[in-house]
This record gives sequence, structure tokens and C-alpha cells, in this order.
Amino acid sequence: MVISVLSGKGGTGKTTVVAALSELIKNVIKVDCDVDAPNLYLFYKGMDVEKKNFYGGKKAKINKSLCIECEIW
Amino acid sequence: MNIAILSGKGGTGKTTVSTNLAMTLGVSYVDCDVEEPNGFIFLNPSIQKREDVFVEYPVIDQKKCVLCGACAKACQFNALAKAGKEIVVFEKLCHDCGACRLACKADALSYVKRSIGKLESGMAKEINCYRGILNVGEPMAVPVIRKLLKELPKEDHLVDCPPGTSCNVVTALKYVDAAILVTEPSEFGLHDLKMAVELVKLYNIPYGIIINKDDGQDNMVKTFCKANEVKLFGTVPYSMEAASLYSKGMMLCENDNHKKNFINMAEKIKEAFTW
Ligand code: SF4
Ligand code: SF4
Repeated sequence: MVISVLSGKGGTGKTTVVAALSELIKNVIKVDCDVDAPNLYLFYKGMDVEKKNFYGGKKAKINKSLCIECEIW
Repeated sequence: MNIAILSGKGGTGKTTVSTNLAMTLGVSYVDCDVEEPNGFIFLNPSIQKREDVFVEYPVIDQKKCVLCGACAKACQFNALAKAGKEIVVFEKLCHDCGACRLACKADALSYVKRSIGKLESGMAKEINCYRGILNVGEPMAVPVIRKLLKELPKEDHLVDCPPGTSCNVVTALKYVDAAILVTEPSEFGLHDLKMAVELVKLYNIPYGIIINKDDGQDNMVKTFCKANEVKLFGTVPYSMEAASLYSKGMMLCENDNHKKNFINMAEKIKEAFTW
């Protein structure tokens, strides 16, 4: 079972609700998807077990020796 | 002069601060929080202009397409895929970059427009009000924010930004000359404020802080401001009255107990931004 907690408006208490409910339900994995400003972890003291970079899109790199600066776009 | 109001954390009071300061300063209000624009609930402007925001996405002429797959290979956003005897277009993933047409040697690609949101503008009392609205379910807010800010007339604006520190906020910051960061005195508010400060610093623009829901104590945000020599423009009190006015969609600056506070903050802001 996966339950999502969402709100539309910011600051209405998503994180508070998740922390409280997950403590009561126990034995549940908590996931913070608010990747822009994740702060569920502030409720818990502890340390990172694993940390790795996430790679999404690619970044363009220009080879100056080949570029003819056509500015086509 | 364009001034961004941002926060990092959602719900700290960006809209409360921006709408009330815009009214107090007599400058235009711009709602860039296009996913949840609710500044107009407080200002209630009469809308004079509405227009759609369009983005383009490719369509493929099946008669000309030779199924070479070059377009799908060129697309860095996975908006095109070759599936058997067909090129599938995922229009919501398309970033309107134009690479697929450059890649197509068969001239089989053309672009069509689709609306992803709206711009609205109007007047509330003496001030101009603008906002962008992203359609529900659309993944990309940037084109709406960019169009909104690009088309603003030359005047002074307070720009109510989206929460967070991602490209939506970054887009808005490209158009401003100064920033006001709104936060609340909680671990969460401070945590996200620090992220917002880091972001603003990248733009080398002057900035300062306003604390909302302030307890009147020497709280952690004030300690942060002192330690980092960040200007504190003022506070909005944590009071039943302020919360009650807010919940009814009323303006604090029109209430006798809060008016003076906003005038004071406005003065400090003008002085700090030499405006
Ligand atoms: S315009 Fe760009 S993002 Fe859109 S489908 Fe073509 S290559 Fe992909
Ligand atoms: S690049 Fe042109 S011809 Fe090749 S698959 Fe794409 S649309 Fe068809």
C-alpha cells in the first residue's frame, strides 16, 4: 500500500501529517518527494546511510573548434 | 525596479507580504506562482486582459516520414520515440527546442501549438495586477512564467515567486533587481530560507528578510540574520487577528493595527534597495 499526502497550497502541513501518521502506523517507510525543499528528515536525528548524485537530463557542450556560430536557432 | 518575493518553504507568507507591500508601495503586483496563484484572492482586481500561453510540439507527416528515427535520437527530453512503424510524440515532455526538425532530413516534421496556461491582468484599486496560471496537470511552468515577466510594461513590480529553489524560481529571478525573502521562525522555515539565500546570492542582487508569524522573541531566524549580516526588513506578528484577516482573504495593510507595520517595512526596503 502506498499512500500519498498532497495539498496544492504550500505550508498546509503535509510534512507534519506524514511524520505523525507514519509514527502511529509504525513499520512504514517514509518518503519525502518534495525534492525542492525536502524537510521531513528534520524530524529525525541520524545520518545518511547512502548518498548519491541524481542525473536527469544532459547538458549541451560546444566543441569550439567545430562550431561555426551559425546561430540557426 | 523589479523585486522578487521568495521563500524556499511554501506557505510562509510570500503572497501576504507581496500583496500588502504592493498596495503599501503603490507598485504593480505580479503573481509568478503559476501553479497556485492566489494573490488575486486578496487583491480582487477587475480583469481587463486574458490571453493563452502556447508551446509548440512536433507533428509528423506520415506520408513523408521514412522512419529513420533521427528525430527521436535528437530529442534530449524523451518526447519522441520510435515504436515499430510509428514515431510516437509525448507532447507534454516536449520542451519546444526545435532539434527534431533540424534532425529530420525528410522534412516530415512541423510544429503545432497547444495552450498550457493563461495570463491575466487587471487593476485593483490603484495598482496593476498580473498573473500567470498553469493548467492543472501540465508539467512545465517555465514558459508561463517567462511570458508573464517578459511582457510586463516598464514600471515597478513586486514579483510573488513560486516556492522552492528550482527552475521556476530561477526563471523569475532572472528578471529582478532585488529580492525579499519571507520566512517563519521554525526549523523548517530556516532550513528552506538558507536554500533560498544561497540561490539569491548567485544573482548578486541586494536582498533582505521579512519574518512572518513572528513570535516577537529572539528567534532562530533573527539569530541567522545577525550571524550572517542579512538585513531584516521587519516582521508580521504571529497573531490571531492577522491569521483571521488572512483566512478571510482580507488585506492586512487596510487594517489599522497592521497598516503602520507595512509602511515601516516599505520605507526600509526603499532605503536598502536605494529606490
Ligand atoms: S522540439 Fe525538442 S523537445 Fe520537442 S520533441 Fe522536438 S527535439 Fe524533443
Ligand atoms: S527524422 Fe523525420 S523521417 Fe526520420 S523518423 Fe523522424 S520524422 Fe520520420
